[in-house]
Amino acid sequence: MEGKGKGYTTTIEGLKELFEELKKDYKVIAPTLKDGVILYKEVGSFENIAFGYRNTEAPGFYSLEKAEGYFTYTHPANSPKSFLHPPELTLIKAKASQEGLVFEEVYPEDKMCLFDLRACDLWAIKILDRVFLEDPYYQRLRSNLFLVAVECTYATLTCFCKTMEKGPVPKEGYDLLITELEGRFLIRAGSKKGEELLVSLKTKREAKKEDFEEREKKIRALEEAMESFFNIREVPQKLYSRMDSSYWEPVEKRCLACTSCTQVCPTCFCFDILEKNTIDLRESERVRVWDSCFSPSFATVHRFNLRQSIHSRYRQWLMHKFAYWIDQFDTFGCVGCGRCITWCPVGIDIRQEVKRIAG
Amino acid sequence: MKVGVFKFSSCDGCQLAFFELEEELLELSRIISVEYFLEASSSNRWEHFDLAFVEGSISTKEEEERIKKIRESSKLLVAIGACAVSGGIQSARNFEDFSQVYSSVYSYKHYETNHYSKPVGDFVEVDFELRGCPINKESLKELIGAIIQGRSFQMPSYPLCLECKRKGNPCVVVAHGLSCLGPITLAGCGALCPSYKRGCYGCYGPIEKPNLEALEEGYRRLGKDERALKESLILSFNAYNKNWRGQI
Repeated sequence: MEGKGKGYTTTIEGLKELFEELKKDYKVIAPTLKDGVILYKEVGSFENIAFGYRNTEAPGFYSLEKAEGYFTYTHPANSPKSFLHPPELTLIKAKASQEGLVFEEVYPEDKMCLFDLRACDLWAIKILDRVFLEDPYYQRLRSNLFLVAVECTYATLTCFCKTMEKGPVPKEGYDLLITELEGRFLIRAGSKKGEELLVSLKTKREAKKEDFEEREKKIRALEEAMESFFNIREVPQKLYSRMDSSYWEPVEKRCLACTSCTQVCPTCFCFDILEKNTIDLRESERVRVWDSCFSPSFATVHRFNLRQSIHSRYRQWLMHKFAYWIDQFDTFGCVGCGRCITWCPVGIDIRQEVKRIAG
Repeated sequence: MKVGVFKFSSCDGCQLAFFELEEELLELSRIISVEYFLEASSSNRWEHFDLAFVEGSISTKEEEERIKKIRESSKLLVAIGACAVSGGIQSARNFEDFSQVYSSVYSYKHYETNHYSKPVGDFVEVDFELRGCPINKESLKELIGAIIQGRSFQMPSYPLCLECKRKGNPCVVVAHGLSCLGPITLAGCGALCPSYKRGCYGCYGPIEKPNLEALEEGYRRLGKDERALKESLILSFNAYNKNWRGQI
């Protein structure tokens, strides 16, 4: 997909101009460097974006080094989920007053721009859109969102968006799409508001045939370099035929049930609701917090945990991502970003588990 | 509500959490009456307690008797901190030859002490546990609130990693190659150490059914052997916790 309307090329100064324009209307979230890790964070200045770093990732391994260019990394360690489905979100506040209890619904009012979103995370947002279809809190944040996507020209050892058919090329859902070429950037719009902003930029020129050809070459090279780990179309049915615990028990010895995979996953949406009140009971808050199917209390009903073994929790998670999710939301729950592989402290590789179980 | 705060083999640190409840103290004083609290008051009464907080491990014969007396006098008993919940750092001796440990500290037989330092729960029934070394005031506030309001006590049963990720920390094991007991340690501290780029050393004690085999694999990946893991568990103040018994 070439994006709607014409393409333009610009320089790094042009991107800075774009950033400044976005900052006028939005809280801009972009990849930044923190303690040797690239993370999505609100950024105040264009210079704070983690340009020129390359992340090396492998199962349970992460490192960064300097690289030539700008968008040289893949995606940050955290995902857009942290902003659209925040880890802790106050939903309702209640206060005791003379007239009785007064309830106040608290809606997040942030107008956010996610700057530098890759194909995997763009898809993850599309999946969250289905999950939180009727959630007013998510919808409030979502409706004010501006999305600047960037095409990857590099994949780490844990990336598998190609296998999941979600990347590496961002297909839709962005407002603007940037591709880094030699010494310049190709920008295309994917929405009306993206088009309007792009047209208003001063530092740009219309993209030529050579610009598109160079882009094509870069993307092709990446697509060819990326491995296909399994045939995704066959996976759900095969998994349904392998529910028996003997397929899952080998995970029991290796998985800590630490919940990290579900927390770094851009689509895992499970949450818990907490009531936090003051001792005098005059004020109370209802807070939504991230939960995980690996948590021992997750499947606890009437004090009995239905999933006592770690492998039964792992089965729930993997089956949800690769099978149940399709019945529930008509899409896989996995976008192939590989975060669960990189950030597993013992390096469990979900691709290898899918291959082993559904192979 | 009559409250007592008691101390056994411990450093007194957990009791300080009561003094940190500054904002709530006024409100609390309307509802509860502190009957016995040696660290806070010189006037103490020991009759009957609706709620007893116990700090410290049981490590002498005298303590064994005293904890039973407290249990008999109390409706609800709460073990506070790693010593009361698991046996504390002093339970490191449970994994060594006692006479050697003793003679490495004292040159002559002077003190009568048990060979093992044990948690309160090994001697009497415990109604609630507050984890940590020391406990934090948030969990204390939550427990007191739950009891006063007659609702259930909301405490994490999940590992620290969940709390750590909610805070937005990248895993210190993966990002910095640090050994971290977070995956098998109960949440509740607010992921204090990993938030400052340090591995968790387990002061909140183990989750239910910690996966030791997987943790060994995790340590091996960092180039650390089983001995290093065992040592960090024994020094976690919680090695003698019931969730570890028979495993370490």
